[in-house]
Amino acid sequence: MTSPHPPGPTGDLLLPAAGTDAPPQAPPASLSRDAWQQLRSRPVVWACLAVIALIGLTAAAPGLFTALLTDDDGRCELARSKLGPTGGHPFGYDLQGCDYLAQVVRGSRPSLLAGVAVTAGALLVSVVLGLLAGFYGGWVDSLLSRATEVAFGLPFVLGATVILVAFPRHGLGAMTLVLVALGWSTMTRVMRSQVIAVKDADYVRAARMAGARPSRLMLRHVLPNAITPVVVVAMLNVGNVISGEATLDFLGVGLQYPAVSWGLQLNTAQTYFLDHPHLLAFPALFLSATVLSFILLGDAVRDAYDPKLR
Amino acid sequence: MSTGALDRADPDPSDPDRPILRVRGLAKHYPTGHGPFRRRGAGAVRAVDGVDLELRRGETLGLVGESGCGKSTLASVLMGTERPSTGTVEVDGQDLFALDRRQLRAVRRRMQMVLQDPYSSLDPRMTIGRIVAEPLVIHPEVLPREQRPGKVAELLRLVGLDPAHADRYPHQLSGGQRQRVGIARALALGPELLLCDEPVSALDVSVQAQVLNLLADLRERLGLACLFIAHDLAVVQYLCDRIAVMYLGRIVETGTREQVYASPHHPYTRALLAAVPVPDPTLRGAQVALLEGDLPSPADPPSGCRFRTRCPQARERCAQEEPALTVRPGTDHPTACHFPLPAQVPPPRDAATGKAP
Repeated sequence: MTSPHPPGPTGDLLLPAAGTDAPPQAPPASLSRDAWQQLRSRPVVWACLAVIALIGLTAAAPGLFTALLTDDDGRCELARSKLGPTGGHPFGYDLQGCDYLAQVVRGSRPSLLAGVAVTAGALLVSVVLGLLAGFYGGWVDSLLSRATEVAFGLPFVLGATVILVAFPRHGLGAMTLVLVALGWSTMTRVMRSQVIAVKDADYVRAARMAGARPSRLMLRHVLPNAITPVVVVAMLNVGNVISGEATLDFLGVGLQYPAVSWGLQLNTAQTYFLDHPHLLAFPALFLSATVLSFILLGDAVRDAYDPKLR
Repeated sequence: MSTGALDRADPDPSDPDRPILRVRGLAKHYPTGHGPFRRRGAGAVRAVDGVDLELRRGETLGLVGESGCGKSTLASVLMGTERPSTGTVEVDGQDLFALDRRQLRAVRRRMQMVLQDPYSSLDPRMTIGRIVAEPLVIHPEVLPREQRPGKVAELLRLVGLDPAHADRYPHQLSGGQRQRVGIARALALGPELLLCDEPVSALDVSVQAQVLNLLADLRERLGLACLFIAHDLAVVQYLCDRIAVMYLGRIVETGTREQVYASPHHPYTRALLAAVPVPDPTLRGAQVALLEGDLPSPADPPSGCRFRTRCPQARERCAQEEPALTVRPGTDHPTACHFPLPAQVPPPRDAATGKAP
């Protein structure tokens, strides 16, 4: 209803229009608007957004950074293996004698892809399951809740290790699926409890009494009013997934050489880091900055959206 | 019998005066205890326990009773959102719970409800225009899509709101304005029957009168039948043609407004009327017997007459025999009391106008 209404057909039901109220006021206050106001005023939010934007850019266009920041020509020479930072190569060289900055920059893509894809997949699963369980209750709820509890009991990294070891020839797609399968339970619980809190609200009752079907009640009334906390949990989850993915790579059960990822670089570095600390420092720095940014941002968003913490 | 409340004759479809709403023997029990091993008949909360009501076109029936007596449960069952344990609800001769889904949708168009709390009854994420238009979206056969904005503006004007409010969100409106939106939504489908579940009790006193006047005006204008649920007798007296008094899931007295207010026969009605504040200080002072104690648990109602535990004149018979809702000697309208109060006892003052009846 954004268009101005034409004057209605004058029926006999019409009362004279009430005295015209004040003209449309300032922009409407709403939870999202207040939350944005609060987020905007916090420097840490901008810092996190800047880091995430930078890492996102390196994942999208690694060539841009390697061309600008190093003299890397794409060739690796074993003679330069593990050499420290020098003029044209600020991060030094890796085990194979390749430019390390180029390698670290290329490592951001699988981390970000896994973080975002796993979270999006888990969010989708949990919104659908939470909505069904919370809205219908009864045996649907019992079934889905027990399944959620079972999934909740599975340890994230250990569970993924077991599954991935059983299927050694996997890529990022398979890893994403495994992580979604292990990571949907928390968000489903949050979604279910939100739906239960919202579904008996008077506005849902009103729509039900007007004759609305369950699909309409769920999609138009319950979902928009229940989803905010789940999205916040999902933002916090991105950081956890990125560190989980790196952990699996580090343990040797995630991505395998010749793939490039921060976890794999850390794995290689563990043998040499006393003599060549730059091998450990740079991927660890990138990984920590990314994970920290997502977690701090998720925290800030949660604070902003939770009226009780105001 | 002048009220017709207990008229058991089957409705004649050609009768222009047949009731729009007829409730017979309606009961809603909520089983206590959970799980598959729940004992059968382990107990139930008898929120509504055998209610008969009848509402004719254009008539307003006030349903009064204290909190917890089952008024709102009754409203939920009447709107078809909960199934009754026993009994029937007929809307214009059609049994609401014998209809299939499609027929139920058609009947829903004819009866709508105004909810109690205007702060929680409007979806905070929808604009006023979308809220009012929602019944039209749910029932697309009523009005072509392109006429909806015009209808919404018309409805908003009808309830005394500026059509420009359509683009606002509920939290930008005051409580009274929100309740007007709730009324506009209830009127969107052109219902014949409006259920009002304490529509003004959540509002500021100064705004209550405005909304009541609006409801009275709309009822006249649209010829609506109205079931008005309230615990405020002054409000009911202002709006209603007939009154039914409910206690612990049952109707204990029913009659026209004049009958019930002038000569309440049931001790509970008498006590309710005595509890209405008297605006004129010169008329105050006469001590009235107020009720003592709390409403008994509807999970374990008293034997016999349900009111006997709080009744100042309960006798032995009241504990043994359940009084039926009938006209008794010396009374002019139905009461469910073995020992109805005679009409000549000076009734309490007329609360709304301050004049003695």
